Amino acid sequence: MTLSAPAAAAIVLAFAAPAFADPAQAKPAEVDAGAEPGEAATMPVGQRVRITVRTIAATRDEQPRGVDGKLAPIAQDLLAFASAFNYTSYLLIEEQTFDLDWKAPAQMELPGSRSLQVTPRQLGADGRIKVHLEVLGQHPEHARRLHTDYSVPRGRTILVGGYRLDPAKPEGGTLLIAITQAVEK
Amino acid sequence: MTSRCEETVPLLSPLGDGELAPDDRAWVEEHLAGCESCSARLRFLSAQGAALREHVRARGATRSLDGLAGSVLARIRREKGARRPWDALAVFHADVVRPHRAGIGALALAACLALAFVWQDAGPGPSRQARLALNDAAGTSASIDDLEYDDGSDGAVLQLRGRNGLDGPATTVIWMSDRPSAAQ
Repeated sequence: MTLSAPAAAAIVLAFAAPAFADPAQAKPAEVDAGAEPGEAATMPVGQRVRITVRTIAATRDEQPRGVDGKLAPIAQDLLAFASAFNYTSYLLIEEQTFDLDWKAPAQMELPGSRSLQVTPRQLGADGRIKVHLEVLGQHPEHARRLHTDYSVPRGRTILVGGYRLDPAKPEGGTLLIAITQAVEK
Repeated sequence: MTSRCEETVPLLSPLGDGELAPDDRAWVEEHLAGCESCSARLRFLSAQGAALREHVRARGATRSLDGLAGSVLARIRREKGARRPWDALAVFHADVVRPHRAGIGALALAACLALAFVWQDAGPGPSRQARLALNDAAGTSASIDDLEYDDGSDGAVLQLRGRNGLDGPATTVIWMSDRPSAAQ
């Protein structure tokens, strides 16, 4: 089943408007992490953002291996994921933690000659962290496959999945990327 | 996409709902065993269904139906016999809506599914861009402010709770389903 974006948007407006908050109204007052005057009260000088990126191989194996013990910090998120996707094994491929200034990007290589760039953008007055995320395609083109802006409470994890673990092997499982954000005091 | 893929895709939803005849089911499952593209689409549909069920459960949990039947009957009694201008709609309903209930039901279902896959690609063309905030009421989960992806993928955003239950924070998943043409 396929819906065009305008049609889907119209349907959502017609049927589901009460279900979601209006983004414009729901948008909290924010403090730009760049150089806005007066931000120091909300964002102490020297405050940094710690972002942990985990790449995970999600596969369906004849002998399920469950969730890798190294993924215990995000086990609840993976269990929620597993409630909708029938992968049987979740193995950590790589984990990197970046200690970043606001608006400073971090880059990480992904399996399949792809790469990821993540940038903490702002800290909302409600404590939510705004993040910009890009997934770049295979070398050497580096075509941008996905870019998104999201906001997330401190310590929470967002998952990006669906890309083939190995683009040349359709049966090789799915690449799952877990991005966890925290603000260092 | 092969011709068999084209024949399989319309059967994926009935397969997930357990509505296929045994012969059709075997035919589809045989194809799925060797076609990652259709398998991915089936997983995608399953995830959308899970997201929809989760959303409906969450909405239902916040609604009280106490006294609903009584208030409906009271209103019917109050308005019974009063001829209103929009009563002509009853004729429209009898002549037009009722014979096409299945189609209208499908439209309503499509509306619900749209909650889960607003960003699904409609086909070739420039990059799709959409803007939507999936903010949970408690603000305990991530929200997507902006999302853009290339033509080689179908995209969806899911809020999954799994064992966390309705009261726990949802896990936000951006799911990009590769198409065969996207793989090098």
